[in-house]
Amino acid sequence: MRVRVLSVVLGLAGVLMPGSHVIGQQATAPAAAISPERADEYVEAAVRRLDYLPGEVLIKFKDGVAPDREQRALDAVRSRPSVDNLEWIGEVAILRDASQPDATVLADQLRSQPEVVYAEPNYLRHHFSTPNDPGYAARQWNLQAIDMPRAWDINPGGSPSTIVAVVDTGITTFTGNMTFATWNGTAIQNVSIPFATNPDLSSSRLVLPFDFVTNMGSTVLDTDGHGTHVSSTIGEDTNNGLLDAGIAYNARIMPVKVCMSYWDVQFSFSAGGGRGFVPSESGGCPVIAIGQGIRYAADNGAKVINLSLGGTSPSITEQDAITYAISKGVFVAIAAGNEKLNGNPVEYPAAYAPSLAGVMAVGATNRSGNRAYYSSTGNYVEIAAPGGDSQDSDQFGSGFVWQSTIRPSVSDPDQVVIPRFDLYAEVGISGTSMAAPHVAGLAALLYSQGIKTPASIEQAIKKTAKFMGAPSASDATRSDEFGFGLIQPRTALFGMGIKK
Amino acid sequence: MRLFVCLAFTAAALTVALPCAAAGPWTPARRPGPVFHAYAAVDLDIFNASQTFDAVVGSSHLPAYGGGVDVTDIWKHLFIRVAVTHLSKKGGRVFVDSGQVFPLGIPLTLTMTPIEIGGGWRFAGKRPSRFAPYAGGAALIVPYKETSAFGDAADNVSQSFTGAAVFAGVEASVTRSITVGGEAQFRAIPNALGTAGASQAYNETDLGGVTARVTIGVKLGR
Repeated sequence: MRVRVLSVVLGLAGVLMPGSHVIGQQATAPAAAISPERADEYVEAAVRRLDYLPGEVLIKFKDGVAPDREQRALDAVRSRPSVDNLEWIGEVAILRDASQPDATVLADQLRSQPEVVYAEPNYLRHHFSTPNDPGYAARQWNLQAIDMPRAWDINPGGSPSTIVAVVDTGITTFTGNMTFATWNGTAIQNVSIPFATNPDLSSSRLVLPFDFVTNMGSTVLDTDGHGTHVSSTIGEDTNNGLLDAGIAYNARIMPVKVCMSYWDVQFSFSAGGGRGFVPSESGGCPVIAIGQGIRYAADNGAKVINLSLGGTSPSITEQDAITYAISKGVFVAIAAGNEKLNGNPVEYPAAYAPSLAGVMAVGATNRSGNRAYYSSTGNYVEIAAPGGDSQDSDQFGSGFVWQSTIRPSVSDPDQVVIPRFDLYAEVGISGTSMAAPHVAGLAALLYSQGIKTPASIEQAIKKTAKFMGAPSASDATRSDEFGFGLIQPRTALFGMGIKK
Repeated sequence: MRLFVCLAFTAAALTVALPCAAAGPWTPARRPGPVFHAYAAVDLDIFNASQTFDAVVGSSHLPAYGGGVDVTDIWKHLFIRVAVTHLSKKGGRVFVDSGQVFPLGIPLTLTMTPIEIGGGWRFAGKRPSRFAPYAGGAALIVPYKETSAFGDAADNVSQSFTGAAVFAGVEASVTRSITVGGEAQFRAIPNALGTAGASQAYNETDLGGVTARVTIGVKLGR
């Protein structure tokens, strides 16, 4: 069973931000990294183009199963692993079996055991960023397209009491240098890498950050830029004369890192003595980390979660975590997928959305108001929002979604050997990864406006959407391209009177 | 329920009026020609769209103020009426989902000014009495406005609806020219609501309901 990437970022254009900020460097902090063995798993996944971490299986045993019965189930695996060697994440156990890298085989063997509720590979969710030329244009057409200025008249940026968790590649919470081992082209070298927080996302608005993939704990470093871009759409500082605007610019943002970037893998690989560059596709978001991140966000006060990631294999671990979040009163926005031209497979976790009230799968529209050419379609697409489109753009990248994030010219592995992550710029990217945070931002505004349950937030967004596309054969109130339509934040926030 | 209230109010008024009429020693002099009865009215409007009004303005029982003129004894005990009342209530916009109401903190002002044009019959006894029960019907023209903060012309409502009312009540003469009275109305203003907003969420389409009215007036012309 193979998983393909969900979130393909179709273009990226970086421009040098006038007066780009280099935050003053502080005390050098020690580098932290995942274990070399773990780094090797990511590298092997990239080399073999696997959509899971090799040799890793997530197991949920039935309630009340004693350790001896768990051991009996594990004995079904050829290597007969010991129950004492399982790593437990809540109710889910991680089995690592180096002797059988094909995790689908391990999962199949374990799934048939009577003590096991489910067993599945630790799937990797992905999103990619591809640089594009810098340029000028009316950058934030996306916010005009959904009439945000009039929505802000009603609710200017939401409330600091509303927390939006960005479960993604992280948002940097640290300013200063950290030393990492990396490959400089000829040798492994310990390099002091500068980091800085986003100058257009006040540090005071970042709450309870946590890293579930690189053992950094409450210090989160975005070494990719995707998570920062997504968080900027949700709530980049606004009306401060700097860079761009975000939708819920008063809401607080919870950076939850669940995705390994290329650089995360490279640093760990080099730290373990690995020579050379890791494959450019290295990295990804293990579903076990996604599940942990979602539960963490729900347990720590988030009211909205954004998931701009996905793959084509369902994961019970992930679905259970989303269901848990809803039960804690959290609305979840999920990118619907960018695979329309790649066979248009069903994408997960987006495909859970129709069966979960309070979860919405978000397709992407372009600057012309049509479906972005890549945006996946199907009966699980519930809503649409601007996501940008390279085929509906110009040489300046005006059709992309522009937000502040790490400057690609100093961090993109295709452009530099030694990166830095302390320079920020307006960057244009397209994808359903960019559409989902528009919905997450709107959900944060609706929550602060008074709609406090995830199911009702979903209804408010659906009922006020502008219908687009051809009515679906099974449900004429929605279309497979746009779901219930393009979000209308102003209408949703304005609510209902007696007659109108 | 509202119909029951209306009928009960009317029955009570008639029950009080008729025995008094039989016992009353007061005998106003009768002169030929119509009588103009002008009055001020205080209404309590109880709307059929109760869930909608409860959600948006906090109550479906709203007071209204106004007045009217009944021209009585046009032909035998026939009278005609023109009356106007005005209702204004502040509330707030909401979102309604599966019966759950989420106030959004956006102020809304509702105003209605129902105009009644109609007539009826006074049930006078053979002997003159200070109590005069009556019943009748009227056409309703209801200018309706709903204005919200942040709303533009497309968001706000300024519209007139039409409907009908039946009413019954009793008028008591305090002096030769001063009257007090009580009246109940049943109003139907169909299809005024229900196409959008909270009324659509609750599937409530009628702007009518039951109105309980108290009047104080003067009689001129006799």
